Amino acid sequence: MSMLETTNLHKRFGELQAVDDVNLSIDREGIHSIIGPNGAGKSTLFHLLTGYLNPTGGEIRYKDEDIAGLPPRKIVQKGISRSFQIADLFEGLTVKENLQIATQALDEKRNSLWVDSESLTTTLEKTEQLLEDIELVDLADVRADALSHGDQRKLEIGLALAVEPDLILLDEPTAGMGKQESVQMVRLIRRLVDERDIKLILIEHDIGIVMRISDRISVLNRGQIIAEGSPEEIQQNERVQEAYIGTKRGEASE
Amino acid sequence: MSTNQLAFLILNGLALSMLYILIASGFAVIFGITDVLNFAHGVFYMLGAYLAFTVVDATGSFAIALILGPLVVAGLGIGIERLTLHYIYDRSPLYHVLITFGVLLIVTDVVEFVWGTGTKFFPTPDLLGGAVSIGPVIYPRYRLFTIAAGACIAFLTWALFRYSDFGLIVRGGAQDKQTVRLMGVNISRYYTLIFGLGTFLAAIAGALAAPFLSVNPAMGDDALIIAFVVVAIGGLGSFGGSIVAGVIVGFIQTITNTFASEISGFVLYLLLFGVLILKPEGILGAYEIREQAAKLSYDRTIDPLNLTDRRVLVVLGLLLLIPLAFEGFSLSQYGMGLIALMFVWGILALSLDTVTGYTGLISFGHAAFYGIGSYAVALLTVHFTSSFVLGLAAAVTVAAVVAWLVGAVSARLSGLYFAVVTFAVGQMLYQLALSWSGFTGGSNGLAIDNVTLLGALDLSNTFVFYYLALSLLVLCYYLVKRIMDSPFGLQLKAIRESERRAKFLGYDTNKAKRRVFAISGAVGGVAGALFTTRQTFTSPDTLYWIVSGDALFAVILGGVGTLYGPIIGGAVLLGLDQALTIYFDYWRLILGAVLIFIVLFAPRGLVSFYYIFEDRLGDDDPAGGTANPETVAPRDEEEAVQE
Amino acid sequence: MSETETILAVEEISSSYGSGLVLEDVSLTVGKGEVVGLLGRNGAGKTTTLRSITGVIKPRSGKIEFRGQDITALSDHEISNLGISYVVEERAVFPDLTVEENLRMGGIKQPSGIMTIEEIFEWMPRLDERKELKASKLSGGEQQMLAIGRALRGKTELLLLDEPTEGLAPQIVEDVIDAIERIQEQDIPILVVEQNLNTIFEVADRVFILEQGRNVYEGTVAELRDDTETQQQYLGVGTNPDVEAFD
Repeated sequence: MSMLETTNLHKRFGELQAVDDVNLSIDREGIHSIIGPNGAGKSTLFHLLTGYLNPTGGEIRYKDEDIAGLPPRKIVQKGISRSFQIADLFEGLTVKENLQIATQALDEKRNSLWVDSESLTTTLEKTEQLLEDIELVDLADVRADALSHGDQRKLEIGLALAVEPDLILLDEPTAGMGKQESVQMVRLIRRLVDERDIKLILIEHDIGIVMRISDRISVLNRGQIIAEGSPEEIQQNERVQEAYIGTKRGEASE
Repeated sequence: MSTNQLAFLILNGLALSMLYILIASGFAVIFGITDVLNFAHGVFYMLGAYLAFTVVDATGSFAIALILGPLVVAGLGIGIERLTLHYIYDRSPLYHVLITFGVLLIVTDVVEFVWGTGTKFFPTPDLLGGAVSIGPVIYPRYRLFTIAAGACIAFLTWALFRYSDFGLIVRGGAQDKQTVRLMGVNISRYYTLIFGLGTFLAAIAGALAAPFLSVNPAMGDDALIIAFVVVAIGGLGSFGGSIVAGVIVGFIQTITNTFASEISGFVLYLLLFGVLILKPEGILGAYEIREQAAKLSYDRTIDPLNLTDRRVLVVLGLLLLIPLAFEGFSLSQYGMGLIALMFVWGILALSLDTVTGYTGLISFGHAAFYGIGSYAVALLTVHFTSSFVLGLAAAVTVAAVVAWLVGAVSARLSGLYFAVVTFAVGQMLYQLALSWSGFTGGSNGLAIDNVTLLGALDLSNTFVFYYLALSLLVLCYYLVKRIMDSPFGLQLKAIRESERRAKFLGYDTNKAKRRVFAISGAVGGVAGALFTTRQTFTSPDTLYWIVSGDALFAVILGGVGTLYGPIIGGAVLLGLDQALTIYFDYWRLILGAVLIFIVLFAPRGLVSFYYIFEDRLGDDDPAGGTANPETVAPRDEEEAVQE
Repeated sequence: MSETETILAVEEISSSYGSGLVLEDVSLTVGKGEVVGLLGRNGAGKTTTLRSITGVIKPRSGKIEFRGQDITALSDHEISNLGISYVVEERAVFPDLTVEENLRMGGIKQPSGIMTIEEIFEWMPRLDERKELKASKLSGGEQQMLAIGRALRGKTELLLLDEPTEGLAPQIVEDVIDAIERIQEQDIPILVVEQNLNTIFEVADRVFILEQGRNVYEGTVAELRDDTETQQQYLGVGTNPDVEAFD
């Protein structure tokens, strides 16, 4: 049974059909990657799945429940968390405060006016644990806006993990990183989601990495799914080659 | 109603509409292009009227006055923009609002200094005097002239924007500044020119209005309110919207003035409030939050102090001792009373800091909660009991409930829309207090007997009141600090830094905003209750938007987002206010200059001086707390949110 | 290429946003009549390089020369008036201005541009048909053509294009490539950031590759075409993963 399923999902911005009749079926097991050239609609698809944008049409079912049109916080509470392509951190706060806010979201006293936030021991323990997990212990008291690019990306992942999701959507977690750094990042992510048994859906730019770690791949181009399959199948698919490397002159007009 | 009356009504409606369009269009132009809510708009209008008056006096020519006056004012507007706003467009709009508020304070006093406070009689120009008959109606010639002139100026302004290169550049600039620069245009020069154009329009409206409205220092306030209401109804920054809304508001005002004048002010705000609830972007506006510009962020973290901090304890100890030390001195009553009022203002500023400094929501209507607190005690004392405890309870409860409602209706808005809604609520209550005179005493306000504490202590005793105000200040600070240290307080910080991320962590940010508003309202209510108790009097002035402006002034002066800073700011502002009044006639001018100085050079206020000092002594860390927004994040690649 | 006159010389510039360094000692040159491709994976610093050249952000160090003049310290509008036209990635047409007004905007400070509005309309008849429409009503491809047209309406002695074919249908990609070639025929040098390798192979003479804000490769298009290893390593476009690090 699939964990997440979309039926005829659409999103229009004025004249632009950003997501065009997307039917996705994503299993509970394994890593699912979504690839496609810039502007293909990958981020928009994530925005729809997480409630940041409302679809123009179509259905989104998560664990057999229609979640299309729900506000982000409801979707998070159902167990879907995400990262943003451009890190969205609480920039003026420290790394620890960032993670504390995030882990506190699950604490039953999260709305309390009266207890000291420093007295929520479970939340604080989870925060410390998470600091270790994302390898930012040494930078706990540094403001998020003072972190290096790579560390900001790690914190972004940390925020998404803190709410203990069943499904996590990561939007280009390696953006702006070199090959080696990207590989380390993906390894870290893989370890974190494996330990927690979280289903991962990944938008990733580097085909090499995608082929290596994905169990299944969907290829998006101009808002449409043009191919779906195992890495081997995708590698052999001509339409994918075309979308990625581009059409050769003359072919397009035929 | 006869045809005659109807025709008269229509002509009056048209004349008023034209005037409103003129007043509002300059305000809309400035906001539409630069995102600045220009609170000095009214004083530029007033200045236009006074200058026209002086020129007519000197030359006898209304035509010269109509050209020369507005040109001088435009020049002034350009100068002010170049010296202040020009440098801080990339900061939170909070700072823009405060700059223009400072200009308002300064220009008001300059006008009073030059022309006095009395109302000037402005003769109708000879050529335009008398009346003409239009069909069955005999109508003043000057008003017809106003209609024609207003229509002409509005049309010319529209044509300027529609057809000229200048208009094309500024329209483009309003949509995308960066791209306009890439076309080779130095857009910042156009910002200056737009500010000049906006002030020119304000001044010409003032000059045109002068012959049939009275010329006095209060006229600026009236014009600002009109500009605000018309532009918010029409759509913030939409020139077309301000024309449509000018006509709507002009006619509604004419009708209510004719048939139900006592509620006409209130109807105006009801209309505004209704529009903002149903269609927050206004009739023709496009709802668009420029996230980056709207965000209030600090490049230096200054944490609130604990009550047990040694420095706090020393200050509190001194404050406890002051009344005892002054015992017997002749100034003691006055001095203690003054310090006690400083506490009251500290509480008000603390209340505002919870929403603005801590949660990042710019409230321009905090007078509402102060005024509610004030009226709650007054009304309770007049009708039921002189018990302070009950009065305080009523003040806190009502203010909290109203604040919760304000939070509920405005939670989905951010940035300046939020400021506009809170402003509208404050002014609505002000008008309500004015109009509902049977209950509130109208503009006379309410005088009350002495309030007592626990049936025994007479709070008209300065000594007792001093300690009461001090204890309530400490209590409020303790409660607010404690709440800000709670998980809920952490949520508020999260909302200030990134509401989107807070939502994606599963937080109900709208609920948090309602709650923080209720808390803030309750604390504001305490300040109002204390004020009335001390003065044994309240009036609609406690609800007037100037109080909201002063409260924001206090927050910035002390140190926005630090909780204790605003208390210092409130105290210092009130102290300065009282002290300067003694020595200078034009003390508001000095306050305005102080405000502009703080905004430009010490945006984290007085508390940041302490850190600047500490930094100088310590190592050579970059000094000072500024509140510039972070550099815009590299928008390097995709991320196609196109909403 | 060494004998051609250098139009643009970027010498070891470093740029940053906020705290992080985005470019480190990036250098590149564009010669007379040349089309130069700037490649690299997402976030490698390509757009930041274009922004640094056009003065949108100021490099922390290094030097940028345009036709022998040091433009490092000039502001964006001054640089535009010298003749560097920049078509940004998001196209950035003015959504609420009409097509015609958008074009007028291109020449508003540079009336003696490459083309008049009439010539642009002649060249792009689809825009002519839609000249009274607001630019937001155009399709993505039409907006891209409008952005290019607007750049050419102004003074253009060097054209910078950021991902001109991104998200466009193959047909429209053809139009854009035609446009680039037409511009090239007028001897206007172009620096183009592009992900679509075939487009680069088709239009460019030389390429530079950036990774993590640094130069990592420089060569002719022919060299890169044969060098699949480089393609894989720096562009991530190959389909044969050679990543050892997993598992």
